[in-house]
Parts: sequence; structure tokens; C-alpha cells
Amino acid sequence: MIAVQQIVDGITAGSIYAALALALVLVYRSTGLVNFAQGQMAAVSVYIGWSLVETGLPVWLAVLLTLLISLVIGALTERLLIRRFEGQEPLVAIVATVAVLICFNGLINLVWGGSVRAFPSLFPDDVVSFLGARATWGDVGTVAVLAGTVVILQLFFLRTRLGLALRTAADNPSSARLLGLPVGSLLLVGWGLAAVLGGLAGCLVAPSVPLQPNMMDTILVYALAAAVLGGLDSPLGAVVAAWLIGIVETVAGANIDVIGSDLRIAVPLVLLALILLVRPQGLFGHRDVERL
Amino acid sequence: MSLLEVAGLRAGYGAAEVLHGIDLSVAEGGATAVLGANGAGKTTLLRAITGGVRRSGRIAFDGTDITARRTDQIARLGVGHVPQGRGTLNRLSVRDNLLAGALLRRNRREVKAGVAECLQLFPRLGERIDASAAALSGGEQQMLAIARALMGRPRLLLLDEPSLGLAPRVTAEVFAALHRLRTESGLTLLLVEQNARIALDLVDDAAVVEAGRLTLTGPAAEIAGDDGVRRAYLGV
Repeated sequence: MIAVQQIVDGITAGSIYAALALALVLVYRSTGLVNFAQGQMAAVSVYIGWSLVETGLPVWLAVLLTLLISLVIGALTERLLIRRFEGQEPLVAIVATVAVLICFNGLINLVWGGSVRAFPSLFPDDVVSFLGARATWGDVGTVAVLAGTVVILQLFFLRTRLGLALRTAADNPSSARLLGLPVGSLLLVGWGLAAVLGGLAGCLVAPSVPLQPNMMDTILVYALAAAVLGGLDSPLGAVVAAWLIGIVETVAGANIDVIGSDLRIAVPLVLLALILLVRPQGLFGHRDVERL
Repeated sequence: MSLLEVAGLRAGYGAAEVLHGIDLSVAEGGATAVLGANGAGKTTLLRAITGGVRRSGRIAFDGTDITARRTDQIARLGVGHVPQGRGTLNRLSVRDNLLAGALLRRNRREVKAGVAECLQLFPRLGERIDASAAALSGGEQQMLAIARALMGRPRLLLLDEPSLGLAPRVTAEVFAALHRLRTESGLTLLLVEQNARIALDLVDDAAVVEAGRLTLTGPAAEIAGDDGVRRAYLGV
């Protein structure tokens, strides 16, 4: 029996995956790369947020500052590291993102230590009931923040000059240069914005999981699945796919005994494999057509 | 006064030198064609001018030395470059391709007028304005690449083999538009082409590049009458 409650839980979980998936999509759309360090960078953001909260700042202000710092961290990562691999084999840059992952993981252990901490919620603890299901304000807030983010991102990419410039640089960097666009600076912007989205995902999930250096690893797996399933270059696709994964995972975990809680992480991957068999470009992706 | 002045230009990829000292100038409002066979260095010449390859010597645009400038800086000075293979933004719509060409211009009304001018020059693009660039035919992509470069309001337009891979009828259509650009807006052109006949018909001056050196330069009519050129490039 599929309960409304399972759907609601699925959408809540899916919204967290979606936030990180949006970061992946943003990097992919602006630089053509998949950033495997996106989750680890988000974890760094969460720890920075935790430290800011510890200084006595209100949570919302701490989160806002965290997002600003994330912007800088993302931009610096591109400028200092990823820039060196620009214009080479994409695989080299992708391996470099794995190196970034390991570095940031070590950084967290170095600065904050491995001990588990707790992160306060942005939203009140009360529970709301609707249609026979129950959700916390945290869940409702997560979904609302995510929905707002998607709308802003779509408008940004499709309606602003900076959005068009980012799409141009990602589609064809050498043409972008011939059109006078400073491609390097655009990549920097893309990475900075993606780190903000990742930090947002981290701050949304942090209240409900213990803080530890690998806290975003599992979420990254779901987010990667969602980003690929959604077509990699479509923010809307990533969100729909993330919700789908969240719902299928929750429903399957609760109703199919074999899956239970141990095999839940396999659910998005199986779903991914099945859908890509039918639609290799993902749910919302564009099929790449090359004229030779 | 010449808008583009190239002197002693050497250029190449890695250790391989492709151009061994090129001297060339294009007058403001003029048009020059560089003819040559595959691999003679035509594409490298254009890439060297817009900073896409290793280069030495001197390249001046409107009196400014651009030899050491970055590609995007050279573009912002007013050099448009329609690259070989067209370089269209394939995941973007035709409209977004055009708007991408005008990203450095701030006046929305002027940009809108620019799009209208481009669609007037290439009506076919208007019919496909919402299609993705990848879905266009080769000829339409070439038109889009030229239109996109025009959206940046260049003072000098570099064209890399606009006839490549196009049917004769489509080539004629593209060159008719280039003729219009010359006569109506006085745009300065530097064209590299294998199709000597159609190129010489468009330009004032021409040069022949062979193995990285210019072997012949002069007015287009003179080049068209040259026995060697007639045999090698015009098939007579």
C-alpha cells in the first residue's frame, strides 16, 4: 500500500538530492564537467555554517554568510585548480575534481576533527498535517526553498545575459572566445554559483543528519543519479528526477521487503540504468546531434 | 589607411611552424581573399590574427598591436571571426546563437534591431529561429555563424572557407549576402577560400598562400588573370 506519507517523505528526501543535483547541473552547464567534489564542498560549507552558528549568530544569518563564503570557495577552486585543466581532455579535469574531493575531506578532518556535531534547523520544529500525511516545517521549507531556487535558476539561465554567456561558454568555449567572452571568468562564476547551491543543499539536509566529513557522500550518489536522469543540462529535469528517485526509493524501501533500508541506495541506480536504456539523453536532456 | 596590418607573421602549433613570415594588409572598407590549397596555412592565418595559435611577428588592428592579446580581447576590439566548421552553439536555439553574438552590447533596442537585420540578410534563419542550431543544414549553420559574428558589430570580419561543404546554390546564397554586406554596410572582410572563382568575385585584393608563404599578391582582377592561379585554382 503506497501511503501519501511515503510520497511526502519521498519528495522531502528528493528535494535535498535536487538541491545538490542543481549544483552539478550548473557546473555541467557552465563548464561541461561533472564535479565529483560537489558534495564534499557542500560538507565544507555546512561545517563553516556550524562554526558561524557557534559564534552566536542567528541561524538564517549564519546560512546566508555560509552561502557567500561558499561562492568564494567555489570560485577559488576553479581559479586555482580546475583552471589548469581547462581545454584539455575533460577526463583529466574530472579526475582533478576527485582530488578536490579528497582534499576537502582532509581539510574538514584537519580543521573540525571527525567528531559528530549537530546543526540547527532554519525552520520551526512544529509538524503540519495535510491529506493524512505529516511533515515538519523543515520538510515544507526544504521543498519551498528548492522550488524557489529552480525558478530563479531557470530565469537566470534563460532570461539573463550572464546566463546566456554561461551557456555559450559551456557549449563551445572557443566560439565563446571569438565572440569576446572571457571564458575563464565565466567558468569561475559557474563554479561559484554551484558551490552556493551545494552549500544550500548542505544547510537544508544538515539539521536532519549528524555532521561528519562524509555526510554528503550518499546524497551525492542520489544527486548524480538525478542529474544524469534529468539530462545533465536541465535544472527542471534534475528536480523532477530527484523527486522521482526520492519517491521510488521511499516507496520501494517501505513496501518491498528485499530492499528494506540496506538496498535503498541501489534504487536510484537501477532506476537510472532502466531509464537510460530507453532514453540515453535522460528525461529532459537534449540529444546531442553533430553534423559532420 | 589599412585596418589590419600583418608583418613577418610566423605561427604554428606546438613545435610545428605553419606560417613562415606573412605580410598582408587589408584596407578599411576593403576586402581581401587569401586563396590556397588544403594545409597551405589559410586557417592558421586567421587563427593567428585572433590569437588562437602560437604566433610571432606583428599584427596590428586599427593601429593597435594585437600580437600578444587574448582572443576575447581581440574580439572586443572589433574583429569578428567565423571559424572553420562554423562553431555554432549547437545546444542553443538560433535566436540564442544570435543573442550570444551580441553579449557585449548593452543597448537592448540596438540588439533587437541587429537580430532583425540578420534575419533580413538571411531570411532562412527567421524560419528556424526557435530550432536548435544542431538541427540546421550546413548552409543554414554557415549563415548563422556569419549572422552571429555580425551581431557583435565587427569592423573587420574574418571568414574561414564559408563555402566548405555547401552545395553551389547555397554557396551562391551565402556570397550574395556577403556582397550585400560589402556594398550596404562597408564592412571590411578578410576571406580565406579554396573556391577561388567565387572569392575573387567578391573582393578587391587577393593573395595566394602556398606552404605557409604568400607567393602572389595583387588586385583580384590581376590574380584572376594570373596563369598559375588560373591553372591551379580556376581550372582553366
